[in-house]
Amino acid sequence: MIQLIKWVLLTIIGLLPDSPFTSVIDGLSVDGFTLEILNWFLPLDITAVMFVAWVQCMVLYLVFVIVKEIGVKLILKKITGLIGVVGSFLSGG
Amino acid sequence: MKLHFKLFPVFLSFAIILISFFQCSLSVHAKDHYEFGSQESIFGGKTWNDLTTADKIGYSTFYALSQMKVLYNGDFSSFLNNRSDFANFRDSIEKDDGKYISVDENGITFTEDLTSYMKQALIEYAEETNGFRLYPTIDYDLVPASEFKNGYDYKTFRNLVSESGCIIFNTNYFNYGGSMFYGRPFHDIAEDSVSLVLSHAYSAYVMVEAAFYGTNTWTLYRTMIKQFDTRYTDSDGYSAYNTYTSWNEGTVLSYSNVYFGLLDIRGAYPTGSVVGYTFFSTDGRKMKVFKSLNALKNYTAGNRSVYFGSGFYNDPGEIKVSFDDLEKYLDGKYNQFFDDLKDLIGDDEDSLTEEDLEKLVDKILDKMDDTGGGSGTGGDNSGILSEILSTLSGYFDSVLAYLDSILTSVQGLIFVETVKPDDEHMDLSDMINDVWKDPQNGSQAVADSLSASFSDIGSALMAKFPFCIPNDLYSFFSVLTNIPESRAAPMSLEDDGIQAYAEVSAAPRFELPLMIETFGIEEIIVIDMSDFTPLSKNARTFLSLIFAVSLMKFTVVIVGLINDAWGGIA
Repeated sequence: MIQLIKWVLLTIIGLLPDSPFTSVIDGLSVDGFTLEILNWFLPLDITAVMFVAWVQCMVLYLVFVIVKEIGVKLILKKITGLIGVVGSFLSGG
Repeated sequence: MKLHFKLFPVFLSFAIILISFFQCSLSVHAKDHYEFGSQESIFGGKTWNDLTTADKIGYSTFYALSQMKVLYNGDFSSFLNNRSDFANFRDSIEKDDGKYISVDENGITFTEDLTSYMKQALIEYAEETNGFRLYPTIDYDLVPASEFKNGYDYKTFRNLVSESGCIIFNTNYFNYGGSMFYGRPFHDIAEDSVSLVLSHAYSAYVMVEAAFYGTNTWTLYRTMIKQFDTRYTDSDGYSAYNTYTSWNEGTVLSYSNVYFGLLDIRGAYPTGSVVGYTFFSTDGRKMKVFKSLNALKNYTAGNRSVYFGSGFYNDPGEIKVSFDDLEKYLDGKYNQFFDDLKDLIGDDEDSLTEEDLEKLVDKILDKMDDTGGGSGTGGDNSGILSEILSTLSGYFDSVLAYLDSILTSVQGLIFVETVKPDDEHMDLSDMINDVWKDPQNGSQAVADSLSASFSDIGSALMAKFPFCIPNDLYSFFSVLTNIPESRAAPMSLEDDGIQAYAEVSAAPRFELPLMIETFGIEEIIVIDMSDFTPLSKNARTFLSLIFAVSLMKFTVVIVGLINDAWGGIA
């Protein structure tokens, strides 16, 4: 079952276009000496770590919102609907 | 805050440009008018006459040895300096007396004295570092039939050399007629390779005393001497003659633990006034004679410093080179070829014969001649090495093909059951069962299994647009933060690709050389930024704070966008 879900998801993901930036970024390089000097004054290293951590938090929050909306709200809606049906049945409606 | 954030990229761009400007070295050279006596300025901006004696010796060594077909490592120059007669050699070059080097309008001539000196020094260096000397065997095609007393002797000689490929023959009996004496070291060796180890003395042209040792077991192997009587007395008392075709037909005369024989470094026939047990072969192959058993052991560990081309043992004579050609060689990265050759050979040195290695060296140096060192390619030797690599690959491919054929033949005899490994990930029913039985540990196992199962999906998502954008941003920042580890101590290593540095220890230091030869100006302007260290610390701290606050503010915007897009789908 898990394998089937995985296969379906991978097939859907495969339909999406590849990243247009990967090849460009792979070709980028900055001289190490220049970077050392640059980092001596500008905290590029620190900001990069901060930024990556922030992006991870944002992605996690996005996943949380999606799970919450799809999972919790949908299930609660069905449960409340089921309770309504049972209630109306018991009340003789 | 908003203003700072907008100006940040602009400021960053200007900083990069400014730093790149400082990084560029500024040199000013006045154009001289060159006449004969002060040749084209090719030696790092200097003429030959302006070079130091050490540089002259360095360039001479470099070019002369490349023409003598040899590749060596960088320790040779130290060895050269330590030779007892080096002082005289250096003084002669310093005085420009023409004994070793002469210069005219056509170029430089490295005299026969210089090439002989270099050759002898390199042979000594090879003996000391490689631990062996190469002795060419004598090609049996060089031995004329007229050397023998009769055709039976000559045919026997040819047959026995052909059968063994390489065999020892006592040259005292070339013209003796009747009995011939041959030796073979490999008669009782089944699973060992053999090398000669010197027992007595090294010289370019002497009787050497050496013994055969196995390189796998360090066993001393005896040499068997057999007698082949081509003339004998028959039952009627008459002389009869016989031609031998195989080693097995001889009569064992003796065994010797030590081989006494002649190895002539010239590998030519006749061998001169010294005669005795000598190596003859079908192809004039070279034999390594190690100076000691320890040298042999070191050699098998791969410690070798010199590789000879096939032309090294030829008489080099004098070598002439124009300034243009010499310049091409100087740009040709000759010094790198030794390391590249070692990399190519790798751990397979034992698989290659000395002739294979000679061919590799020849190919490198011939290519260098063809291309004029590095002209047109900027000294790039990758093309040459690719060809050599393909040669080596072809060699090993042939070995692999042979092994593959063996495996193929064996394949039909063996049935190999392909066992499919158990799926390490749980299925849905297993997950429910585990959680039901043990909620605490079961849920953790389910989470781990799901994480492992869907890790492929996460990887696939990171390569697909638009989900790739966070990962691409991460990769972009990785490019900008690729700082050597030695630069400073890392502050955080939690992230896989990026290291944060608590403090950048060394301040930038720029050196701007200013050289104007016409006015005799030769200065270096040094710009040391260490005085600005407090500014650096403060700037890094406050800019980090600004960035953090900006991220916090930006978080509110992003969270709002996420809620707007996904908050009401159900």
